[in-house]
Amino acid sequence: MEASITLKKVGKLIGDKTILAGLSFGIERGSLVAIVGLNDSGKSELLKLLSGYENPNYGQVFIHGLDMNKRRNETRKLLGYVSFENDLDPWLTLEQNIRFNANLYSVDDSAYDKRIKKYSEALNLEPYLNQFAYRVSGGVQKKTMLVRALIHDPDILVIDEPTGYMDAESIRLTWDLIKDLKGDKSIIYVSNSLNEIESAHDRILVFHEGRIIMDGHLDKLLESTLDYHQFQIEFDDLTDDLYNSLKNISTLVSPNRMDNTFHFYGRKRTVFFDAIRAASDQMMIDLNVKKLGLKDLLDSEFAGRGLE
Amino acid sequence: MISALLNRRIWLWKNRLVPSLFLLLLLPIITFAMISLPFKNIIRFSLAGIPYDIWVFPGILFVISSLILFPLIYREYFELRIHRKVLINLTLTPHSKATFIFSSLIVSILEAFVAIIFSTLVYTSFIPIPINLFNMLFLVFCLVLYNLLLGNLFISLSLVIDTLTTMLLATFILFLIVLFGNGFLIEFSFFPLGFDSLMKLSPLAIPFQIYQKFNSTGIIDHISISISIALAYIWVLLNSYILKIKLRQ
Repeated sequence: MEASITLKKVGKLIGDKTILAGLSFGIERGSLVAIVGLNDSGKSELLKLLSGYENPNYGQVFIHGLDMNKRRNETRKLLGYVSFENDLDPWLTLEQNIRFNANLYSVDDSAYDKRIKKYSEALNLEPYLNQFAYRVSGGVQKKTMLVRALIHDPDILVIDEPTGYMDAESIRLTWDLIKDLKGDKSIIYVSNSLNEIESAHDRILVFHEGRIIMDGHLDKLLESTLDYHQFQIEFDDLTDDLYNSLKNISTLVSPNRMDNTFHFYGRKRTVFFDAIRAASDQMMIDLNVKKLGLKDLLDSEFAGRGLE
Repeated sequence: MISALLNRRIWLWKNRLVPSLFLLLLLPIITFAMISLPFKNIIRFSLAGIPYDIWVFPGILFVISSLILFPLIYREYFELRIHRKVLINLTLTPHSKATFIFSSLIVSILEAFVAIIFSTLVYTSFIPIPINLFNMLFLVFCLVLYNLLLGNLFISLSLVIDTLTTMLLATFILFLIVLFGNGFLIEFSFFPLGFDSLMKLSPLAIPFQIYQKFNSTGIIDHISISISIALAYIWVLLNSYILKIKLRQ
């Protein structure tokens, strides 16, 4: 499939610190790509480079084959960017904020009317359009920023935390819109809400210390973990002796504790019984077994242990 | 881009109509009451023998345009920048930074001119000013030159400074220079010998000197006009470079 965004050995330094280290990857047109990772891992910095908000220190970013640094004006028409923080003009109404952007991109009145109606209806933003930006909640501001980014009909949408500050209803509406836009636009976003990423279910880039350590569809990422389950046993009193004896069971993977709850991973469900047997004389309050998800994968990866 | 920025200023005016109109009314009245009224009792005539309240009229317009220009530029380049609002979004649109800076200067100057027209009406209702149309048009031209230079200076300061306290202090110093260091209210000849020559070299003082020369001799100083235009152009480019550095773009 044709590339929408291509990065070639892109690096970003802030002072002496390397934020992004020689990144090279491509994003196909019409795809929905999530970037996940720890705080301060360089996710938002990557979005800033993709949106033209900041320039890389080295390397090149291509948008539809155009070098972003050399063909600045052309590439900017193709991009819509929603930052994490609210950057609306507080003394303009939401509608004026959106129209201001439309004017900057020379969007004609009929296209503007059509788009603002479509997107504000989709996000239930209409009741707020005539309110000042400083008077509405963070979630409404975020939805306005999304409409503002879409008003010039960009081919690529770059979003930092699509559902930041939003209530449950707004989160649902926002994801419905994003999924609706997928295919027509390439969408790349950063989110800390792993449940949302799992339900959006598209390509995921896992970021760690300015590098991509995993890249692929959720199923592919979880392939290595498909046999694994996460187990949890809550004890009445998880003593240090008990924890150490459980930890030393060879079939248990990545054992750890939180208060009186003992967590571990295992390739087979029978592993659970190894732990139960070892703690049979202890009072157990709750038992839990579940298939692994993205959160468990990332927890394991960033703990530096890995499942394998 | 100019029309987009102009529309935004109109919306901001509409959204805060009462305080904006009140301040627009108050500014020329306060300026007239605090500057023209007391100063004409101290400096009764200019060195050329013109009554002070008539002589000071162009200078008052320069002062008022400076006062109008400052909050517009402060908001755009300092307040919204340090609070990470609007400015970054503006720089992501398909316009160069030089275009953005030049357009915002033009819009600010247009707004300053609304205040100048209003101030002229207020001032002339108190004191009849013997000024002909051609003279007035040349005054407007010199005001544009001055506003381009002062606006660029405000933009440079607003971009370079990152803290409010430093910005306020810098602004106070700049306003002292604007009020007393450009010959608007006090002629350069009142300053000590040598110091006045130095002040005349200030880029901000050039447009007013061009006007005064034309007003007293009828001569248009093409060289000074060219220098001012060239300086304003270079300053726009310099400010666009500063903006690029500040936003790490």
